[in-house]
Order: sequence, then structure tokens, then C-alpha cells
Amino acid sequence: MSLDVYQRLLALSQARAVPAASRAHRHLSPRPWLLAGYHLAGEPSAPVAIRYGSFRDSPKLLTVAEPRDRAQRFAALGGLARDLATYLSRYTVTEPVVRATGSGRELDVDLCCVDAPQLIVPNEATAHWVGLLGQYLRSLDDPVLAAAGAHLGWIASRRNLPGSSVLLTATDLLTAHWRTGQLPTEDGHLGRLLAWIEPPAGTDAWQAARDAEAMPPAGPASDPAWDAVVLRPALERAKEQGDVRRLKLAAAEVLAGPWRDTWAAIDLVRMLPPGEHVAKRWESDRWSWTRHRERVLAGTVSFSARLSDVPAYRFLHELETRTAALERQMALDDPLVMARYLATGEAVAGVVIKRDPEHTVVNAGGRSVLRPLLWVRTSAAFDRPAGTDLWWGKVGMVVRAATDDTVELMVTSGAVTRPKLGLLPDTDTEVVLAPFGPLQYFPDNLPDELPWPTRSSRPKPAPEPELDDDLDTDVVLGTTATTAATTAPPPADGAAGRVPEPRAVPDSTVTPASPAASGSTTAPSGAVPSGDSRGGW
Amino acid sequence: MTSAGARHEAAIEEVWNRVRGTDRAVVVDSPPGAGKSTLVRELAKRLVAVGEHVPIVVQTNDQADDLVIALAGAGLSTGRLHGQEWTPPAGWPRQKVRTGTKLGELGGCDVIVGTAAKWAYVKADERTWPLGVIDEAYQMSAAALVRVGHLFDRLLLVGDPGQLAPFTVADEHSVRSLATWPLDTAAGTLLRNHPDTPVIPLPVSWRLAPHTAPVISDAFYTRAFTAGAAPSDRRLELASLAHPALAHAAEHGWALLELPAAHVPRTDPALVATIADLAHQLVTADVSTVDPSGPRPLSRADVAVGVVHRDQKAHVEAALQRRGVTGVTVDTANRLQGRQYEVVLAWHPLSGRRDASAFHLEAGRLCVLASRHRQACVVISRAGVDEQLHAYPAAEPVWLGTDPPQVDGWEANRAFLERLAPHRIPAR
Amino acid sequence: MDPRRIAGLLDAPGCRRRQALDAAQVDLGLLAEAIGSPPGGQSPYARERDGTFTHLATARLPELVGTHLGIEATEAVETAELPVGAGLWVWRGPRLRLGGLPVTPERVVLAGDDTSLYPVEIRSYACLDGHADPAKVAGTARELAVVVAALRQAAPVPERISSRCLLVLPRNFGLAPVGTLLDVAPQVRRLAWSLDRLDAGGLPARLRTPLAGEALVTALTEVDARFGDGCPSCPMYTHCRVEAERTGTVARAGGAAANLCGPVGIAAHALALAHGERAPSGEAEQAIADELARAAAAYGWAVGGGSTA
Repeated sequence: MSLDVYQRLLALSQARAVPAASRAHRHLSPRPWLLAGYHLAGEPSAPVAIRYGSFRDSPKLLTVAEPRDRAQRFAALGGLARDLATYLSRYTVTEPVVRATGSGRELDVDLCCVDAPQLIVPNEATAHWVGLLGQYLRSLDDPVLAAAGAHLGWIASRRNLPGSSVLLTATDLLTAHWRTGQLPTEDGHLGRLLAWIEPPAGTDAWQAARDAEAMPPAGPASDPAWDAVVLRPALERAKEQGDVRRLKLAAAEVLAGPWRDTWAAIDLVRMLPPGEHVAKRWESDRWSWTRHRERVLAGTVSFSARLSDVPAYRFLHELETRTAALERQMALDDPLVMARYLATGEAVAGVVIKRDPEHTVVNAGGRSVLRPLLWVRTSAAFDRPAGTDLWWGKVGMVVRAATDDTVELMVTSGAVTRPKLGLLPDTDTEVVLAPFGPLQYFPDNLPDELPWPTRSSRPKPAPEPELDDDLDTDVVLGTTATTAATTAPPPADGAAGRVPEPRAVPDSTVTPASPAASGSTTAPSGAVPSGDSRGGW
Repeated sequence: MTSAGARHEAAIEEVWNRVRGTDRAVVVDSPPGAGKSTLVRELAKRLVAVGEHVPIVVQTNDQADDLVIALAGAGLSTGRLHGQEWTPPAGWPRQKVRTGTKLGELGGCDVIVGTAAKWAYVKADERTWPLGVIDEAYQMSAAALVRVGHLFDRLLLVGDPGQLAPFTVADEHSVRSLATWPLDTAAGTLLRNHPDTPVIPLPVSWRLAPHTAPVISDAFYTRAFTAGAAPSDRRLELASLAHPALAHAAEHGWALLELPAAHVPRTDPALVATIADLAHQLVTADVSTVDPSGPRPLSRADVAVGVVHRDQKAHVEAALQRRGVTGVTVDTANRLQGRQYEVVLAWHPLSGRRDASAFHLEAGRLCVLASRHRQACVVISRAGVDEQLHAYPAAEPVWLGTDPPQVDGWEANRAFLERLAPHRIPAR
Repeated sequence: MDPRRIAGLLDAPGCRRRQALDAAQVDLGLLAEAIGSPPGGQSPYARERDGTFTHLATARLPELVGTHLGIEATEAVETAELPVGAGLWVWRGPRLRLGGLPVTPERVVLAGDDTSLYPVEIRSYACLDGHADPAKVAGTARELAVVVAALRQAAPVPERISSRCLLVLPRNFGLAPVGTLLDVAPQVRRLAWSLDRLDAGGLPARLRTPLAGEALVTALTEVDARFGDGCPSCPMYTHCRVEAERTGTVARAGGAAANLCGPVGIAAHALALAHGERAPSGEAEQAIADELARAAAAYGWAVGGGSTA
């Protein structure tokens, strides 16, 4: 928090963004699919123009001369659906991968796609629109459009999962790696962000950002004035004279900016070396893609409107696990991220001034066990209480006492046997003690169905009567979420009383198994296919 | 028996009758210091007396340990279900209590106590119980209840609705878009799903003083309660040279000590010094606390400082150390939940900020800080909190189809401040 | 002023400049022209969609108030005053007041049973699977709170106006109306508090007369602004931000920065404290200097290629 403020102040006073990361923390595909477009004001199911494709210099342009005419809309979206299918068909090759199953102890070999598709859009609003388009397309009878809807639904569902790179926004790419000196809400504007990071020569970020605001918006909402002055005459001409040239020109002109800016954001992040855990997280996306493909092939793709019941609880568990894991991985990968924890005092930097490797304690069973002690001289006082856990790589320790300039620590894992004492830091070593250790894997222990206290005792209210709206036919299928065949892990009392104690698993090439392929549930907004990547990656 | 005592007893008997009745679930709303722990112990005793086995779900290891010590002290055969890493606290009654990481190790115990996280690993095919007791049911989330609910045919939930709400590291927007709200409290989700469940409020706070209970009740609770103590029962006797805020609080139960308005860093040094001075005076001056059991000198263990952030705790502790004060508890609101002291010095969550935030406005946070005392509470703050409340934009997102919160943080803060206005003491 | 404008009082109640703007009922068109901010406005397509949906939804209101409020009505009846009894009414162009401010909604739809009158609001943003954009719903709730409060001020028995409103939105991607009950009681209470403060605030004398152009800007600029996270939705935003940029105000970087820096309002001063180039003037500045210095040290360590193990 305080580092974030410091960086914003630096940026503000230099009128230029400052780096917030020194590694790329998002996976970037060598061949992403980009999409930028506008829909008719207030009508996400009525696209006006969409620029899309994998080729920077030769994007496809979809326009709909009469966006409210369903036949025209379907024809245009059909083209996009076929192009999307072509792009996705590049990601069907699989390879055998070793992964852990059950509680994480047994290994198994499974086929996983060697790579997965990636969609990159200019901003959050467009990412949200992708989900809505998917939902809309799935509601249609046309098999090509419905199939595209299913794919977009899967893509959009990954958006809500911290650490997933299937659907990226250019604004997120930039805010994850740079800090500006403007309001955080202003960071949602792609043009402004780019102006902060690379202001044109001779202008400062303030002026460049104001100039960027004067450009056509990145979508999917268009400029109301453009709607009135440019779009309306162009659409009328197309409708009345069948001449779409003016519409195509106008669309190409306003979407050129967001298209170029999205590529520019990708270029900027590509200049950073990738963080070590990025590939690991992408593997989780690859597994999810593999399962999604299997469900598509088996004809078992289903989407629930909004997650409820057990899948909602499972989703929360997955969100919490992934949020914690992503924070930990980014900090371990990147000193600029770890610096945030140093600034708040959750992490400690210092020099080892004394060691007592022979120190022992008597455990609950009455046995004497090795628990080496370390004393670290710190530059700032450590204000967390005794009992706080810290890690130096894989060596876990607990704070015994702290003074203004020294922390006394007892090693509790990673170097508590004689053969491993060599892993302890030597005297005079400079260390950064982090608030995270090896990968924490939280096995889920949700029941298959909701127990009675959390299930309504009243009969469900009758569904709203179907109204005379022929567009309103969203598929809402049962939410048979998959449950992993997890054997009960060692139980533990969580200090906070909510999450079970994490159990360390080697942070290597194994990934917890994904459950059976069929029946997983995805949702268009705010939901995920459950079980695809439980917890650990 | 006093009328408060009679109302309390009547509520206890109603709970007992409901527990022995046919309701699938019973919720007991217990305001601060209303005798929740005694109630749980008493019910466990009565249930065991009629031949029942009583599983009790608590939320933290500390709560489990405290409860087990109390139950064993009451002569009940008690088992402590615990995790691998648990170590017994000092004074653990080894002879009287069985402990184990598995249910099988606790066979024969009449009462079994464990955290919700631990109970979540007990399998329903291992064993289920006709009745389960959940303690601190407003600290527990629906997500935790889902993991233990199948173990019990019926449930008794006991808790204080004025607590901090369950918390998640996950992005709230993602969680809110679910059709279910997994971060609802266990009691809240049960009441939503079973609206016919009887809710029995304990009507009397035995902890809070007669002049402080109404403020807490009005500002933070939808079900009113009163103090059990009569005005003549409690008294704090101070030397005449005491700080005016302490003198005022000794007489009225409250004091709002206001430093000049300023935007200051979170660890406001002037506020730290003021709190440390007050604590120093409380433990060094000749202060007696008087209640019906008689007068006794105020000890260090009787005084607590409630803060909002960990760095404030560190700064206050350091300042106390510089003044040679040890043994005074300094902690954040979430760690003070469920504890009680004679005198509490509370750092107002909004003190010295430029803008209020949802975190600092949370009703449970202020409620916990302001309801830990038996005799008096001194709230220490920068002036200008009302300006902050005024300046707070009413821009909270509104989620369609959900009810507004029963107690709104902004309103609770405003009501509390209004009620404390007569007790405002400008800092010297 | 329309309810949206008055609801704006809840957007930035701490900014005196914004309060003055609303209390003086400054014409926003004139203001935009004076400060040279880009023209806003609504897309013709959005306007058409609003119109179509309002038309469709109005026709379905009897059915919706029946389902959600249990009120029987066959059609919405035109009224020119606050209606009495049970039924469904449309009141076009009511001239209401709230405190000292005029409230002039285009129309108010009311459904009544024998005890209460419930405002009904039709909006054209989508309700997808029972879920609508929470920021938009919050905006609607604030505007409804203005209507509820103004109606209460006009009603002989204020309690008859319920804070439970019926919000009608198009379902999913179509235009089929779907109703949801929305209780705006919290927003009504907040509004009451803001209005009390607004009346007490007082207005600079110069703003009591209608102004335009440079004179308007100068008069407004004499009132203190409070720059923060909510500013982009304010009509003065483009003006105030330039001012904040020119002075190097910490708040230009957002509320988190402003809160951390407390009394140190200028970014350059805060940085000087962080880098030890400026002596803290007191204990408070010392605490800020300590915190920022720790951040600066961590940043320096990381930029210097710090290693984590």
C-alpha cells in the first residue's frame, strides 16, 4: 500500500509512469487473438463494428449495416464465429503431462493441450462485453453461433480467476506493471495509461493523457457525438442505398486507435522477462482449455446463469486460493512486487548476525527436536507480533522476539534435520524474509450437496413467467459441478477458523488433477468452470 | 431477583425449551457480555444431564481452549478435537480433558469442542449428532457452515450480531455476482433459508455499565438490550487529579477525548502519546473499581487499548514501554472480540483520516472497540469525524435482490458519535 | 433541477465547490462551455432505446405492480397531484421541492395501496439473470431517494410515501420488462443529512446571481475543491484536475495517497520527506516521513535488482 502511494507520487512528480514490476506477470501468447469493437448504445447484443484477429497489420473488420436487424447481425457474427473457430483449431495438439491426483500424493499421466488460445481486448468493459456476446450467441439456434458462444463463455469465465491469462485486457496488462500519478479510476482508460507510460516526445503525461481522451473511445461504448454525427448517416446510407463503404471507413477509423493501443500494451509487457511462475499458471489455463475442448467434443458444455449452491462455495474457495497463490508467486518472482511487502513491514530485509543451529525444543510428544535460531539485524523495526511466520525460500521460521533493530527467529521447517542444516543462511548473509513459503495447497472439503442449514426450507418460488421476448432464451442447465475425488487430507485447525491449514506440496512440475471432464459448469458472468484447477498451480 | 435477572432467566428457559422442542434450528442473539459463555456451559450441562452428547463448533483455537477449560471446570467430560499443530495453552487441565486429532480418540466424552475448520474434516458417515451447538455464529461464514452442517440434525446457534463481518481475500465483485452470498454470517444464512427459525435475544448485558449499554444498543443493534447492573452497582474511583477524560468517563461511562482536527498519518503520534498517557495514569494512579463484590484496585490486566491497525498497536505498545507500563492489553478490534476489561481506551477508526473508507466505517469494528468495557470507555479521536462522515459519498454499489444491511456502518458511526457528543472533552 | 442533479449531492458531499455548484443551481451547459469541457450527451440510439423500453414497460406496469406489490390496477392513470387511495398513476412534470431546492422530475409513476404509495422507476439498463450493474443500480437508488424525499415533503402524511420502490428493467438482451423491489431507505437517510448540511453551508455572494463564462469559473474557483477518486463524474472535473496538476497536489493521485500523506498536501514535499531532503515539521510529518522512507528504501532495493532469497 505505502509502496503504491510512493510510486504514484514519484510518477506524479515526474509526470511519467514508474515501473511497478520488473517481470511480466501475465502469460503472453506468441499469437493472441485481439478484439476491439463498438455495440449500439445500450445494446450489447447488437454489435456495430468489431476489429479482430491475430495479425496486427491485417485485422478483420466486421460491420453490421442494420445492427437491430437480427438476420444481418447473425450473418456478420457468423463470420466472426468461423474465424474464431479457425483460430481455436490451432490449439488441439496434446502432450502427456504428469500431475498429482487425489490429495496430491499420487501421480498420474494425462493428456494436456500443448498451448491454449488467448484473447486480448482493450479494457475491462470489452472483456465484460465478450462474456455478454458469448451468452447471447449461446441463446441462438444457429449451431455455428452457439458454438462460438460456448467458446466465448469459456474464455470469459477465466477472466474472473486471478492468475489466468486466457482473456487479458490491455489496461490490466499495463496497470499490473506500471504505476501512474493519476486517479486509479483514470487508469481504466487505455489511451491515458499509454500516455503515462510513453508520452510522445515533447509532452508530459498530463498533456498526453488529455490528448488521448480526445481520441475515439476504446469501446465497446461509442462516443455519443460520433453516433449522432458519423454513425447515424453512415448506417442510413447503408440501409437505404446498400452502400456500406462509409460505414466501413468510419468503423475502421475509430477502431484503429484501440487496435493499435492494445498491440502497444502487449509490446510493452513483452519487453519484460516473464516471471518464473507464469508458465505454471498458464499450464492451469491449458488444462482448463483441454477440459473445455473435451466437453465441446462430447457435447456436454453447459452454462449456469449464476453460480449458486455448492458450486458458488467452491468458486469462493478457488478464488481465495488463487488470490493468495498469485500474490505469493508474483512476490517471489519479482523484487518490485516483494518490495510492497517490505514497505508494509510484512516482509523483512536484513543481515544474519548470529545463528544457533543446535537449538532444540521439546515437542508435544515429549521428544526433543532440532529448531535452529537465527538473529537478523534489520534496517527498520519489525512490528509484527511474536508467532508471525516468515520464510527464506523453503526455510520456514517463526518470530520469537523483535527489538528496534533485531529479529529473533526459530526455524520450524525446511532446515530442521541435521542433513539440512546446510540450507540455513550463514552469518553476514543478506536475507529477505517473506511472508510466504512454499506453495500452499488448500484441499477442498465441500460436501456434494448443501447441508440443510444452508438450503432453503421453503419451496423455490415459481420462475418468472416466460415473457414474449424471443431473444430471451438463455440456456440454464443444471449445475452438476464436478467434485474431485479427494481423499481427506490431514485435518487442521485454521487459526482464523475458516480455512484449513495449508499443506506444502513441492512447487515443481505436478499440478493437482482435474476431475472428470464432463458436466463442469461455467457461467457467463462472475463464474468459472469449477474443478478445472483446484487450488494449486 | 432483579427484573433484569428475571428477564435473563426467562430468556434462558425459553432457549432451553426451544432446544428441547421441535424447531430444527434456534438462534440466540447475544449482545456484548450478555452471558453467552455461561449459556453455552449451562446448556451443555443440562443436555448431558438428559443423556445427550454435545458437539460444539467454535471459530478459533483460543475460543476452543477457553471453552474447554470452562466446561471441564464445570465437571463435564470434555474432549478437545484439534489440529496437528495445536499445542495446549498454559494452565491446560490435562487430567480432566481428552484431546485428539481424530474423533475416535475422544470416545466417551460427553462434550466435544473443536473449531469449524477442524469439524469440516469430520465425515458425516463417521457420526452425526441429533443436536449441534455453534458458538460465535456471527463470526462464522456461510462457507464454513456449509462444511459442517451435514453433521447435525438440529442446530443451536449462539452469537453476537455486532461483530466484524466474515472477510475474504477474494475480489468482492466476483463473489457478489454469485446467486448465493457465501460470505454471509452462519446465523444470517440460516435465518435466510429458514425464516421460521426462532431468534431469542438475550435481553441483558451484564458487562456494559448502565450508562453505556443504551448507546451500544441504539447504535449497533436491531434488538434492544439493557444493562444488568444498576447505576449504584458500579463505580470507578479516581484520584482528584485524574485527566478530565478519565474523570468524565468514571462518572458517565463514556468520554470522547478529542484532539484538534487534522489530517494525520495512520499512526498519529499525538494520539499515541495521549493514549499512552491515559493508560499510564490509569495503572499508576490510585484507581479503584467498585462493583457489588466490593472495591478493588484497578490492575493492569483490567485495562485495554483497542486500535484499528497493527502498526497502531506497535506504536502504542512502544509508547507504553517508554512509560514503563507493562501488562496492559493492546490489540486490534478483531482480536478483542469476545474479551472484556474494566476500562477500555479506544482509538476511533476514523480519527485523523481525510476520507472514510468502508473498512473504517464497518459497524462491527467500532462496536467491538466500544463494547469491551465493564466500567468505562474513553474513545480517543481527532476532531472532525463528523465532517468525514458528511463527506463520505453515498456511492456504495447496490446489488439487486439483496437486502440493505441491517446495521449500516455509516449510520451506526453517526448515531454513535451523536450519542457521545455530550461526553466530548477537548484535549488540553 | 432533475432528481439526477440533486442526487449528485451524494456523489461528493465533501467538496465545497461541488456543493456550491448545486446549491447555486448553476446551468451545466453554461458551465461546460465556460470550462471548455467536451460535450456530453446521450447517443441517439440510447435515447431511442430508452423511449421504446419506457413505452413497452409502461404498458406492462399494471401486471408488474400486481406481481410485486400486490396492487390491482388495469392501467396507469394520469394525475396532476399526489394521488390518494389504491391504484397506479403517472404524474407528469410535478413541481416538487426538497429543502430549498426545486425538484422537477419529468414524470413520477406511483403505485398505491390503502396504506402506502410506492414509486415505480423504469430504466433501460439490462437485468441479466437477476443481476444488474451495481453502480447503475446505486445511481438509480440515489435518484429514487430524491423523489421519495421530495414526495414526502409534499405529502400531508409523509410516511405514506414508501421507500420501497419498484425498479423495472429490460430482461437479458431483449426488451421484456422485469420488476425488482429496491429499498432506498439508506439513501433517503443519507440525502436528508446532506441537505441539512447544504442549507447550513451558505453560498458565496457572487454565485447568488446567474453567471456565465469566465465570471462563472472565477466565482466557482474561489470555493475550495476537494480532489478525489469520485471526481471524474463531476461537471467541474476537467477544470479541477488541471488545477490539481498545476499545484502538484497529492490528491491528484487518488484518495489512498491523500490519506497516507495527511497534512502533507504537495507531492514534491511528500517525496522530499521520503528521501530525507526535507526536515519533518513535527511528529505527524515525521510519521509520514518514516512510512514513505520505508517505501522508498524498498523501492530502491528492488530497482537495484534486490534478490529475494
